[in-house]
This record gives sequence, C-alpha cells and structure tokens, in this order.
Amino acid sequence: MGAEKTSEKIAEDLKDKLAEDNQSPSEEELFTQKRDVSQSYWSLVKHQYKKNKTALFGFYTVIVLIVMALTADFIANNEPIYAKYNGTTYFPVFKEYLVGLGLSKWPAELLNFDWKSTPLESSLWPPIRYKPSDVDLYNSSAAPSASSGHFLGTDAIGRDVLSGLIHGSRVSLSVGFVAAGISVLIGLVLGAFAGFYGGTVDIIIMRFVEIMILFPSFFLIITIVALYGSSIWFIMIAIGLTSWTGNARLTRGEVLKVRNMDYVSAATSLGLTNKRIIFRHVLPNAIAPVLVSGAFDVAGAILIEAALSFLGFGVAATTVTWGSVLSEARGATESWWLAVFPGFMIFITVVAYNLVGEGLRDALDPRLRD
Amino acid sequence: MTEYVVKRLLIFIPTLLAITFITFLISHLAPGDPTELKVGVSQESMRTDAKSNLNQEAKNYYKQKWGLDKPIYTQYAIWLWNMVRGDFGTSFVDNRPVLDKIVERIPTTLSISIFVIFLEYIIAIPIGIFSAARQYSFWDRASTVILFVLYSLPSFWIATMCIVFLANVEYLKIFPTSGLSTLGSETWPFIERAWDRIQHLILPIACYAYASFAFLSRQMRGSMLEVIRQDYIRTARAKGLTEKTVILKHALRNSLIPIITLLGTILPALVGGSVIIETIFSIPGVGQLAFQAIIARDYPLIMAELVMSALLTVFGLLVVDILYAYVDPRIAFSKKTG
Amino acid sequence: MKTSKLFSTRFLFLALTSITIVLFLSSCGSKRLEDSLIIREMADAEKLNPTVSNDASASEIDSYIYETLSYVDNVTYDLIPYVAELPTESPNHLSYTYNLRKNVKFSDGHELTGEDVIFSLKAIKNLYADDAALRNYFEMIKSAELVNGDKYTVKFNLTKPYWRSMYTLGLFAIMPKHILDPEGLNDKIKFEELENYETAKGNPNIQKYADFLNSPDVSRNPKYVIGSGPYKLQDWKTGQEIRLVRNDNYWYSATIPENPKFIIFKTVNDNSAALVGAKNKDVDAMFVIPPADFYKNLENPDQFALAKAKPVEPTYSYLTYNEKNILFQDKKVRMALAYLVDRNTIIEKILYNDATPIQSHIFYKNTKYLNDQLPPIPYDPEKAKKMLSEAGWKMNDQGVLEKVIDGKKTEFKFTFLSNNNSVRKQIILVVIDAMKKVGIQAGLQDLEWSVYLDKTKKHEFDATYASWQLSVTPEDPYQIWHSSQAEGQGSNIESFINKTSDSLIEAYRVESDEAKRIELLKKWQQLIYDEQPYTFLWSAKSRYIYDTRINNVKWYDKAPSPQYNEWQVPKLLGAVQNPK
Repeated sequence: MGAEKTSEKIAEDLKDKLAEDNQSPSEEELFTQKRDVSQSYWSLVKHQYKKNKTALFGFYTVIVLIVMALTADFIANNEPIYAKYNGTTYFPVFKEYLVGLGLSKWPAELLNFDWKSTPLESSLWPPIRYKPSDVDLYNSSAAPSASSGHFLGTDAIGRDVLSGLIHGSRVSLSVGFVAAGISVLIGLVLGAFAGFYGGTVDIIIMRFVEIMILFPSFFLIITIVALYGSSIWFIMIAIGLTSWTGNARLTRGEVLKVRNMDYVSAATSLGLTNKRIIFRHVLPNAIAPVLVSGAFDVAGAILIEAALSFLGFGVAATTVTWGSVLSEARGATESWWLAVFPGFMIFITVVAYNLVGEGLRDALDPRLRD
Repeated sequence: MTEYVVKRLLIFIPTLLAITFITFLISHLAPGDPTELKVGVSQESMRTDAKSNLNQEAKNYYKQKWGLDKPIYTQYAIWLWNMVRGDFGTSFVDNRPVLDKIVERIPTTLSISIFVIFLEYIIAIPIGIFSAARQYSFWDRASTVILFVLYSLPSFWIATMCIVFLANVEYLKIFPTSGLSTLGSETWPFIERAWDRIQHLILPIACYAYASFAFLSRQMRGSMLEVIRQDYIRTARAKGLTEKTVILKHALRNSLIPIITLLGTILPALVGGSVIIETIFSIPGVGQLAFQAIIARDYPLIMAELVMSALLTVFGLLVVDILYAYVDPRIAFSKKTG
Repeated sequence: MKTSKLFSTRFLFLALTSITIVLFLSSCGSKRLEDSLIIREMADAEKLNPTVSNDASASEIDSYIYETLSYVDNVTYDLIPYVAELPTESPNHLSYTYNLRKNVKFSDGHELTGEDVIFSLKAIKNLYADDAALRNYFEMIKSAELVNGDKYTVKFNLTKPYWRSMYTLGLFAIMPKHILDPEGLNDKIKFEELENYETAKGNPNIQKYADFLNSPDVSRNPKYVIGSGPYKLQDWKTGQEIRLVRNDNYWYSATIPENPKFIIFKTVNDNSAALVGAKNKDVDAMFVIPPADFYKNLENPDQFALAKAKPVEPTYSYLTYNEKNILFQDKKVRMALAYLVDRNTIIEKILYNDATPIQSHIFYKNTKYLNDQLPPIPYDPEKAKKMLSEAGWKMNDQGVLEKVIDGKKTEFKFTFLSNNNSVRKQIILVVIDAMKKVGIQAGLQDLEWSVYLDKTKKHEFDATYASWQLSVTPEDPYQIWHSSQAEGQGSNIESFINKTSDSLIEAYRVESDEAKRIELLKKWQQLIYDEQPYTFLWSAKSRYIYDTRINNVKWYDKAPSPQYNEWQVPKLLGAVQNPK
C-alpha cells in the first residue's frame, strides 16, 4: 500500500521543494557559459551527454529495446521470413502484415498453414521459431536448451519464454511511454499554469498536487485495475494520473524562474497572449528537468505495469508480458527460468531508462561542464 | 510552532475529504456487486442446487442494509459522519469491526517495518559518508554502481527469486518459504521461537529494504558532497583538524538534515505495509489486508485503510516539516513561508 | 546536537532489543494436546453458526457439532435415518412427518425435540438473517408444526409437491432453542409472516431475532455454538485455530471412546508452510492444493511418515457457450467445439492425470442415476473442421471462419471469460490454441470473481469455463437447465432453451417413483449430450495427505471427503514430541 508510493517519489518532491528555495543552478549559470556562438543549447546538451559512457550505454540499450519491440515478429515467429515452397517464393511474415491490413490474401491452401512441419526448398527463419502464444503441451515446463529451440525454456503449457519476452517488450514499452507521456503532459500543463499565473490558480493547483501526493497511488491503481477490469488503457491512464505531481512541481519551479526574465516582459509588452507566451517561450526553456523526470517516469511505469501483471491484473490474459511470465514462477518454483529471465529483462530496461535519466540530468547540469 | 501545526492540520482536512470522496466514488462505481457474494456463491465452483428465485429479494435486502441503494453522495455523507465519530463500520465479509481487523495486523507489519528502517539508515549513512569523503575513488565508483543496480531491481523479482533459489528444496533451502513462523512453534522455548521468527522475516525484510537504502545512500552522499564544498569545512581543514574530525564532527551534522527529514516520509509508507512483499511471502500484515479488501469489495475496509494511509502520510509530512524547522538553524531563524 | 544523541549506538541497541522482545512475546505458546487430530484449513472460518455461515471451512467444522434429521450414507448415497426416522410422506405429497428419537441430547445435556427443529426452521426462513443462500432451498417449505402436541413428531408442510424436499428437510442443522432463543422470540413469529418482506414488516420480532442471529458473538462464542453432535466447540482463536473437543455426553454414546479427544482446525494460509507443517507433524491431515507440491515435493511421502489419498469429490468442470450469441445457436457447432478440446492431454499434462473425463451432469460415481451409455468425445480437429464446414462455416482470407448469418458476414470470433485462476487460464489457452488452428479466433478475459459472477449472471459473456459442485443427494437439473432459469439471474447462464429438456425435467421433479425417475433422468442426460450446451470436461480428484500413524482413515467420494471423527489417533501420540 504505502510503500509502493516509493519513498523516493516523496523525496523527489521534497527535493523540488528545496529547489524552490534556490539551491539549484541559478539563471545566470544556466545561460551564460562557455560555448561556441554557433552551438545551440540542445546540441551542447547532446555533446555533454555523449561524453558520459554509462549514459550512452543506457541510450543504446533503449534503442535496442525499441527496435526489438518493433521487429518482434521478425525475431520470434512460427512462420519463416522467406520460404520457397512448391516452386513459389513467399515472404510469410511480411504477408501477414499485409493480410492483416486487408491489402493482400493468402491462397486457400496456405491459410493457417503449418510452415514448420512442411518441407521447404529453401527458407530463412527468425532465430526463434515460436510465437509467444504457441501452446505445446508435450514440451511444457521445459528447461532452457539450445537443441530444442527453446533457448530460455517454456512455461507450464509449453509457451516459449524467449518469444514471450521479446513480444512482451511491446506492452511494457508502450505502457511505459504512454503512461510517462500522460504524466509529463499533465505535469507540464498544470505546472506551467501554476507558475505563470500565480495567485489563486497557483494555490488551487498546488492543493491538487498535495492531494495527489497523499493518495497511496499503488493502492489506487490496484483498485482501478481490479475493480474496473484490466485493459491496457486503464493501466496507462491510471499510472499516468497518479505520477504527474513531480513533473508539475518541477515545471512550476522552472516557470517561476523564467517568468521574471526580461524576454518574457518583452513578450508581454509586445502584446502576445499569455497562452502563446507560455507555450512558445516559457515552456521550451523550462522543459529540460522535466525530460529528465520523464525518463525516470518511463522506468517507473514499466515497473508498475510489471508489478500489476505479476499480481494478476495485467493486460488481457492472452497477452504474454514480462510480469505475467514472472508470476508463473510463483506457482512453479522448480521452473527457475520463469523467474530469472523475465525479471532480468525488466531490470535491464529499468536500468537503461534510469541511466538515460541520470545522463540527461548530468548533461543539463552546467556545473559539470568543462 | 503549535500555530503552524494546527494550520497544517486544518489545511489537511479538505485534502482528506477530497481523497476519501474520490476513492469512495471509484470503488463504489465499479462494476460487480458485493451483495452477490452473500447469496450463495462460494469461490470457484457453484452449488448445482442453489436456487436463485429468492436471490433478488435477498440481494435487495443487503443493498438496503448496507445503504447501497441510496445515491452515492448520501452514502458518502453517511460514511463520513460515521467516520468522524470513530465508527468505520463492519466488514462486509465477516461483520467484524473494520478497525479491529486492521489493528490486529499492525504489529506484524511493524515488526518488519521497524527493522527495515533501522537497516536502511544503519547501512545507508556510513556508505554515503564514505563515498562522499572519498569521492571518485574506487570505493566510491564501485558503490555507486552497486547501489544503482540495487535501486533498479524490481522488488517482486528479487522476492520471487529468493523464494525459488533460497527457500526451495530443489536448490538451497536456507530460509523457510513463507509465512511468519513454523507451525507448532508456539510450543517451543522463547529463544527458538525468536530465532524461527527471525528466519522467516529475513527475506521479506531484505527484499523490502534494499531498494530504499540504495536511494538513501545516494541522498546521503549528495548531501554530504554539498556540505563538504562549503567554506566552513575549508576553514576547519585549514585550522588543522584531522580529516576524520572534519567529516564526522562538522560535516556530518549538517548533511544529516535532509536525511532525517526523509524519515518522516519513509515511516508512514512502511506502517502501511507493502502489498507486494506481504503477498509474496504470505505475511498476514496490513498491506495484505488492503489487497484482500479490494478483491472482496469490502468497501468499509477499503475506506478505512485509505484513511489510515492518508493520515499516516500527512502525519509523516508534518513530522518532516517540524524536524526540518527544528533542526536546521537556517530555517528556524528565517521567515517561515510554509 | 540532538542528532548525535539520537544515533548513539547504545540507544539504538536498546531500542532494537526492546522492540524485538515486545514483538516476539506477542506470540504465546501452548503445548500440543494429547489425543488430538490437527487438520489444516486454508482459510479461517468466518462464522460457525450453521444457519448464517456461508463458507466451506465452517460447514466442514459444523458437521461435527450439529446434526440433522436424516443423513446421506457415505458410500451408497442413500438417505438414512439419523436424529429421526425416515419421514412418511402424505398421499398428496404436500407434507412430511418425522418421528424423532427420544434420546437425543445437546452437548449441554438438554434434550433435542421437535421444538428445536421448528425453531431452526423459523430461523432459516427469517428474511433478515444472513442466510440468503440457505434460505433459497426452503422456498417450497411453508411451515412446520408438532403433531398433536407430541414434541417428538414434526410435520413439515410444502407449497408444492417436490420429492427433493426430503433431502432439504432431512439435512438442515438443528440448533438448540434454549440457547439461541432464550427469550422465545420465535414463539411470537408465525410462519405466514416469514413469507416475504412485505408480510415480515408487521412483526418487529423478526428483525429483532435476525439481529441477534447475525451478531458476531452468536457465531463465534462457544456458549452459543452448541449442537447435538459428537463434538463441541471449545475455543476459537481468530485466524489461528478452532478447537473442538469430544462431546462425552454424546447421545449416540457407542462411538465416543474411539473418537479423538480433540480435533483442531488450524488456519494456515500459505500452502508451502502447511506442507512443511505436515512433514513436521504439526498438521496431521490436509488437502494439498498445488498439484506441484503433491507430485514433486511429496514424491516419497513415506520418508515423512505421510500417505497420500486421492478421493473423488463430486465436482466437475465444463465449458459453456452463450446461446444468445448467434455463433453458438447451432448444436452442430457446439458439438464441433467439443471435438476441439484435447481432454486427455490436458488431464495428463496440466492436471497430473488426476481427473476423469465425464460426459454428463450427473456425478459419475452415482451409478444409480448415471447414464453410462454416452460415448466420450475425443480430440479430433479434422472432424471438427468437417462439422463446422457442414454447418456453413468457410475459411475467409484472413484465415478465420466466416458465415453469412441474417444477411451479415460474421466471423467466428469470441471471448472466453474466466476468473483469476491460473490453472483455468492455462486450460483455456490450450483450447484457444486448438481453435486457432481451425480458424476460430478466441480471446480470453480474466475478471475478478465478483465481476465475473456479475457478468455471467447477466448473460454478458460469450463463453466461459466453470465448474459445479454436485451434491451427493439426487440432482435436480431444474436450477441449471430449465428454460425459466435463463431469465433474470438464474443459473442457466448459457440460455439453453429446449422444450424436450424442459418437459423431462418437469416430469422428473414430480415423479415420486424412483425407478421412473431414473429413467427420466437417463433420457434427459442423453438429450443434453446430443445438444451439448456444455462441453463436459472432467471430474478432478482431490489430493490429501495424512499421517500414517493414524488408524481407520477412510476417504469417501463426497465433499468433504474425510470423516475425521472416525479416525483413531493412537494413544501413544500424546508422548510424541515435535521432531525438533
């Protein structure tokens, strides 16, 4: 209940509170520093980021994961990528996409065709020849073995674990991005309004923030998902709605700093609308710390989704996710591969995003520049 | 000071109202009907000769009895009125007063939480100090990496792995699988019973604590680094004091400030208990009760748990503010902006 | 400064030790009792009053404390006399008269008479009592009265003839009136007033008594939990254990010396902890829930002085398809779907071979009523394909079966509903996979139990996996299969509407001749087999382990299987200390 609203979240809010008391880099430090006139702010950040080896590692890992999620069908599938059968050449995996879109169709004898057991003149197979949902009762609870093709073993009804992990990344990453996106969006908007308008708007929004902080968020998420049914949208929205407070506070802090600067007064005197000022001038400068927070939010969202799957409230029961495979380990303690690999996957992903977040934070911190 | 506390508590009241109202709405508007569970269907398999003609009437009766037939605002008002008078209602499941059910589990959850907090602080602070004192040394880098890794490990994964590998006949059976104590241990002498308890609690405590002390160490290190940069530390060094005195006597005090205040936020979370740890290790604590309440749609119990959690959190935050103000001379002497 | 004091090691140490001591002292100890049998319960009972309780643990425990007018024989399932002789039925089948034995006593020595029987019935029919589930069975029972003032003769009156009433009347627990209604409130309540909520409003005693009966104390305090059975409640430590002690005043005194002195039901939520307890002799018998524990963990039970038992409890699992959905209205389609379930492999691989495939709603051990001429349906995807094709389903370009129904192109797509049970989920996924191969796209939705019940009751589902717990008393298919039960929130969740089935059921219900009843039921079973509103799956065996030192352990094919008071604990047991 309470502990899942991890103490670090609350501490982060505390830190922001400290930040408001002027303990983070001042405006001058932010904007006056050694750089080439030709270099923009963001390319400077990029340059700084690249110097950090671990941050780079995190970044590349994230890229690899995204690519894996996008190309999952080519990595783990029970159909070949290319096959020559009875003289004709086929590209089954591609064709499945087209068929799914209604742009193409299989000849009748090839519908629901079992490619694996047919002799093919030549073929190119994905490295893992199983779909995550392929049931195989004769190979159930099989230990990992290279010879059987089940490199990471199978679960109690014979589904391949590695295939499940690869396809599962789609769910995890999309939940991560969307939930974090929601969280960042809400935080940005509310924080900007609070910082820019001040006064009553500020007080109302800050009260709202306080309410959300006091809410035991994990408890709330479980309540929503358990009672309303687990669909991927509920999960994403529930996570997003409970984690925006840090972003709001950060944004507000940044906006407060920037609000008093000259260029804002200039814009006001030019007659620009408040909305335009906020969105075109203030926010782009305030966005930096929120990006950092965003990276951590993705990691957090992935963790929560996995935890929910683990407890039995994950997305649709037919979809294999990292958390769902891990939860099978509880009921089958002799199948150690069900415990080790999915958890490791979650771990690596979380590490990658945390590294990216840390790297961004260091890259944005002017005090660490040469 | 008192004025400040009172003001904070007063502001908390509308916040509490908002929280409870939102949760009330969410849980009561969910599909699924708690009265259904009263009319003859036990879990998993249903009796073939269960008649359902009278069920509708009986369900209506329960609806009335539990006030579920009234508009939701009225239900909320009734609940609020009762809560203010200390009556949190009785559980839908077994008619026992909800407060009893929660309170009887608090010692169990506490027995884990208290150890967790001690562990966290006792380990985190020295690590943080050493890392800061020997910044960029091998020790610093190594511990940063290790702590970062610990911080990123999902707790439910580690807990499951512990059960699979450390508490399993097939691999290493160092620890008992789950629960609080071995059956029949009530008859053992005190020392053996205590040791049995400890054995059962080691894994849950460890799984619970590791993530937090990673975080705490980093905070400690960061805070220590800030302090070391200050002028008065340079002065102390210039005066000729040993490094040890400088760090432990002068730097430590001030860098501890944010760490202590963090206690105020960690504590309420721990009293609430961890749903995940308690479920995996079958610890009959407060967190597990909350989870079961949600599943069983035991509305009075859900609301009571929520109120308790919110109260604890606000209490914790208040403690943070007070400690902060009390302990940091800068703030105590400066104008309080709340 | 304050902080250094707070962190002084001495203070820390002191705090730590004192807290430890306090927390550990909170678990008090008691020695293992001599001549006791310890049974593991998965969950603590919620209430022990037999009228208002609604959980499996409680009903098992209550069966040792309370008694009933008749009894169902453990082996033949016949109704046999118990507290009373078997009833005589009136010629118009509207009343049953029971002659009670004259020597029956409650555990406190008070006599059990027809007064207690009548009082118990009034309590059951009390509309405000927390016993809606039980009350349903008594819908047709109008009233009860003493015959000619004889307190050993009770006559029950029905609203409609129904031979099953013999079982309902014969099997409800008799509560002691002098303990549970000392003020005689029920004497002021008439049966007519208990008919519905309207009539009940007029008599405030009804609500008053219900409040008393519903109170936690009545269900937990040994002074109220008193019956005439071989055991009485001695102590209940909430969440820990319920202790029964032998009733040395038991009226059927012949059996007393053989019964264990104490039967203790210990609550152990966690399965692994329970297993460890069994090995350490802290638990003498238990139902083993995870199959993995039973087979892998306990491969050699004798090394722990344990033995395994696999009795058959009368439950069965099935798949059903909502006939309100166009996809499932053709019985050929339903039959084809049955050919897509590989029962034998599932039983072998997922259920560890501990289930028997079944073809009928009737418990397969009930040889009297079972129609055993129904051939099992094998796994035959080719045959299924053929049947589906004959029913007009053709494969479309996406590889999904399609048919034009009512002018609209319909694809064979639907969703299975399940509750959060992992084994069920696995089984459904296997079936879904088999269906995919013939062009049927099925999905699965996991719902939490209460939402699941809601949806199935409201017929808001396509297909589901569920199970029934049969009784050992003769089945009445009305509740589940009659078309009238497809309305509202009846148990005919798949909306199976068939006139022949209805007429067979209706004839069965009023047939007082048993041989004719059996004929009707067998005919009905054949009809159901042909119509396949359910894909009947299997009846699973239960898994028990018990201590080998215990004698006279028998396992009956009923639920719950064991009869603990028959078990004999060797007197030596008292001398056995914990192996530690």
